[in-house]
Amino acid sequence: MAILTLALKSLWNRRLTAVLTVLAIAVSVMLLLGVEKVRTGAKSSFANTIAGTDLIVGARSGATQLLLYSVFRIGNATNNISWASYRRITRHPDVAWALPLSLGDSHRGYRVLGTTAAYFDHYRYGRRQNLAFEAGKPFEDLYDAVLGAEVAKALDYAMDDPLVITHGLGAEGFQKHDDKPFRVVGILEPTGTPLDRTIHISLEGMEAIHVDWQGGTRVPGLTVSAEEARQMNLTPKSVTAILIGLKSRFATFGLQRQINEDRREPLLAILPGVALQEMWDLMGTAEAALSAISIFVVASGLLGMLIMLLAGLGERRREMAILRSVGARPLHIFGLLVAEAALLTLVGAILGLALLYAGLTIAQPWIVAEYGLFLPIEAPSNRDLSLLGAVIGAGFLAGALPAWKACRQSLADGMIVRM
Amino acid sequence: MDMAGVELSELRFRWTGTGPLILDIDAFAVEAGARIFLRGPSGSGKTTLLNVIGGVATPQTGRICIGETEITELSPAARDRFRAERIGFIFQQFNLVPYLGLIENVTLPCRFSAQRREKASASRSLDQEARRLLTHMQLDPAELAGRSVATLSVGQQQRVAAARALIGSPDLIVADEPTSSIDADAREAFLNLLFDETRRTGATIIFVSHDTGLTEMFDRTVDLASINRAAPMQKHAA
Repeated sequence: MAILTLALKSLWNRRLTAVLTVLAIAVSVMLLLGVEKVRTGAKSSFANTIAGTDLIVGARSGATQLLLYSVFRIGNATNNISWASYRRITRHPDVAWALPLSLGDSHRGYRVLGTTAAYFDHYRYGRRQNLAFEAGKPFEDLYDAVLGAEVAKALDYAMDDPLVITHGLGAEGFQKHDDKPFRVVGILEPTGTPLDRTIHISLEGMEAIHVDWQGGTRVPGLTVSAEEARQMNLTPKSVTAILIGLKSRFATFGLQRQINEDRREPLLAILPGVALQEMWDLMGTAEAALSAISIFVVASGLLGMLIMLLAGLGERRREMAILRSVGARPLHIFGLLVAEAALLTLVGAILGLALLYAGLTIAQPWIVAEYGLFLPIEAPSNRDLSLLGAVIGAGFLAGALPAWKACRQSLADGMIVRM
Repeated sequence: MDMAGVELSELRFRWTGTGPLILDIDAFAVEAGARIFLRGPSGSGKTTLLNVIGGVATPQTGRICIGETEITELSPAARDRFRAERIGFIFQQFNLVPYLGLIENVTLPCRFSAQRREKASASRSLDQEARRLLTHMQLDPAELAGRSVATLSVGQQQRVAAARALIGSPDLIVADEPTSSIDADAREAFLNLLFDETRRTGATIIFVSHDTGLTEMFDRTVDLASINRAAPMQKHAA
């Protein structure tokens, strides 16, 4: 206790360098745990987004790309699937349900998804949980919209509020489908997945807002009002992707092969779990590199502390001699330096943790909006605590070197040091 | 009240096994409660002798007894404990721990010795005893309390160090040239204050100094070169 008090007072006496050292350690700990949070957050967020879907079908591209744009709303499709192919797949005897996805438009930065009402019955997330409505019901009318929980919260939308869809994905696009406004008829409960940031409309609704558009712009001289569109044939010509549930899982590989070998249209069918694993494998190297960088940053923070303690030893020889003269044992001298290192590391680690959570609280909405990545603010995991323990342990070890040196020095100096 | 004399016999000390002999003392004794002025030129082994008496350095041969305790028989840890309990030190300068306050510096030995803490707080609280000693050393604790000890004058710092050496009434006070940084006028006053307190507790004082002008204030003067055969001859002659 005496040594701990002395260590505290000694650090307070050198508070400027101590604070800078603590900050260096705190920033490095924040980075280390932040990388861990992003890594685990991304994995759980991705893994929880889709469940119970056996196959995802899109235009032929890469499995990861298809997974990213169809499920996670990241990136864009390179091509669409024809309506005929969609119809063929739905009629396949092994298919229990098929959910068409039509993407490409947005509303104030949130993606708009055109699909069928069956989506709300068949889509599963997390541990095969169903979508549930916080308010309202699935869309029925052509211009009905169902909002993800976060959209409603962030944009402060309530039932029956109107909303105008923007053509394309810009946060504030120039070209708006303002002649055909939608109406909020349902708000989903939070899922912690990209669905929370999605506005769901019917495929026909999606088609309706594009009847007087061609090649991404309005057709000059052609204006179709919202009511006129209701009378038109709104069967889509194409969709972006299809989520498929099979009657039997044994049919998965057979149907996947049939779709991938379809000569009528180049399509790609993927198994979500396999594609997700491929994505982790792809990210593994980047993950390892990030972890290595953050470990080096922690090491540099601890090295800074080591330099501070070692640099101060010369001018502290008198202090050690005085302590020896009043009865301090070499072990006390060793303990004093180790306690200083441990306190710096401990405070740095706690501050780093606090900074991480403060940063998460501030940046969470932005990370979600910008990267579609939901990083939950929850208690540190066992792995987080293990990492913190390792950092504090490393701090103790780093303190042992100057402590050992001070101990040796005090044994050599004795009580009387001529400065 | 414990009183302790110091007795050295057949003492041989080298800093390293093959290094030169620094101390070679056949016999040296200080009576309990005596005030000894130990003088000697640089290199005569004064500092080494103080380290040996303090139990920080261990002689290769010989005995050192402080009171009834033969400290050469003690383990290093026990010697450290003995030092904390029974000996008070005052150095030439830079006596104080810069990050501790005035009272904390005075009570510092009590952090390392429960026995000394008990003795210091036998009749009043530890803080009160520290204040009493500071006041006795003609310092105003209330006035100086808020100041960093580094801002005290050298004379004030020496008096704080004396209060620290005296707290808990150790049996032996070892002072290594404590007056060398103080004005000539203040030296006698400093010693008088020190002696007043040790007279009350009965502590033995070993006072090391070059300043022979102070010898009259002591019971006995010992020239280290005369008892340490390892002291260089030319310095012995000086």
